[in-house]
Amino acid sequence: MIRLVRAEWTKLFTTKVWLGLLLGAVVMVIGFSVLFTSFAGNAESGIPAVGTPLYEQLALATGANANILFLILGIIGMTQEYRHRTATPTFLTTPRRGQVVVAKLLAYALVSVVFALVVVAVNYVTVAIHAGARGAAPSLTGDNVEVLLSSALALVIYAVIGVGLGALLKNQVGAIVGGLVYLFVVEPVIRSIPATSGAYKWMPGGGLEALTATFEGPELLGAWQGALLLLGYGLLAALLGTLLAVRRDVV
Amino acid sequence: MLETAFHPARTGRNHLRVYCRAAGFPLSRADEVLVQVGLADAGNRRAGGYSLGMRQRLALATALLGDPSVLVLDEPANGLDPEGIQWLRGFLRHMAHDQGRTVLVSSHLLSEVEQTVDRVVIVGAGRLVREGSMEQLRSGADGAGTVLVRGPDIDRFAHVLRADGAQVTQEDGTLTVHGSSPADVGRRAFATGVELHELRSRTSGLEEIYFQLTSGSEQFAAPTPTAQEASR
Repeated sequence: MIRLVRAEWTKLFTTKVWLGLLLGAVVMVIGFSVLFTSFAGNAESGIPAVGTPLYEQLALATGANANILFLILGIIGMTQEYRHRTATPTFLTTPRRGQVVVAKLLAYALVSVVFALVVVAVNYVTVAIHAGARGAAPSLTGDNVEVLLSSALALVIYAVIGVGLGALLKNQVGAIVGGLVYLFVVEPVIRSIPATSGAYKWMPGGGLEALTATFEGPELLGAWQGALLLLGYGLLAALLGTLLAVRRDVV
Repeated sequence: MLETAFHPARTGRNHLRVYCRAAGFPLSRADEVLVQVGLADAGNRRAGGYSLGMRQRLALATALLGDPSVLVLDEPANGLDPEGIQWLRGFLRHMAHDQGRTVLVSSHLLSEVEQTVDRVVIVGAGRLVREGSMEQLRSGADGAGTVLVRGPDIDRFAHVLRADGAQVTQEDGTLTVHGSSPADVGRRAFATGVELHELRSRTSGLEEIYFQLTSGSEQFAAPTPTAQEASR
């Protein structure tokens, strides 16, 4: 299994996809942090003032917004095998295809730990500099650290979900477009309609919100329940993908 | 092998390293097989920029990573230039004869196969049609033991052969001698003092043998295009 995980890392780091996604996540988190801090305390924006605990928790959770890029990282990691037909030599080298999926889940989870720590570190540094310039840099203690780490955990879990989704759908473009539509269209609609918002807490977006800071949201699960729910979705997709899709013939 | 299965943005060397990792081989195997297939200089280039022939070589290199005792290749000559085909021919013979590996090649390029292989298995419509060495296939085919002779003084030679009791037919200055061999006919010509310009066994090529063996069982029979259709 260690061999297969290392093979996945070799695959990942011998193309430039990881660099683009990591840089994208870093740019995204810097942008959100700066934007958020700029409007902090602004009466119209409704964002609490710099220096308040609520502001700090919200500002330090902006890293979780990069979840879509981590989702894409996982999706590409799995679906590139089909897109570039490397599934053939990969499955010839490792005939037990379930092992390949498990190796990908492990490899991308571990890589995402590093990437996610980079993202939350950039998140913290950006907020510390900007909020510091506006009066009060958040301390790196207690609740703040917890928020940063839960953001990082959310990102890691989204990469796992991406691998699972990729295993299930196999089609790279379809999986990415489907993931985007789900996260940005389907869930917000469900979240906003009162009749269905009760179900929202059981959905991946609800799990994410439960895990990271919440901002005027509906009723949610506890943070750890949210994390487990998310991870469950990722592993369920991977399991279904292994049983239904990965076993099919590749040419 | 026909499938060109690699990520276009990954270099050939890194492509091979991925499978070294997965199979637990040292990474140096990647460089060894690159040298073996003649891609040593192209190993650090993106595989997406490879020519069809280079892709075939990279696919062959991937198959060689595990140092297999049996090599199964599907249409390995596809996309190779004439030099590449000649190289492949030598490479496969080296694999089989000098290193004692089993090399199975499936191909539709019959004249190409004929020059490479030791034994032939002809499969038609999913059934085994014939199996054997090239010589065995030739001897079982129509035209075995038939010798073609050409020369300026062919009429006199035909008389000599007929006098010997050989079965000879003559057409357009070519003698066809049945039930003989080039050695026997040549010996007779030398003894008679007849000038010959051509003396050969009418052996069939693999393509001809193939059609003799599979005639009537073609899977995708299509009408032969007329000259008019073909010129369109």
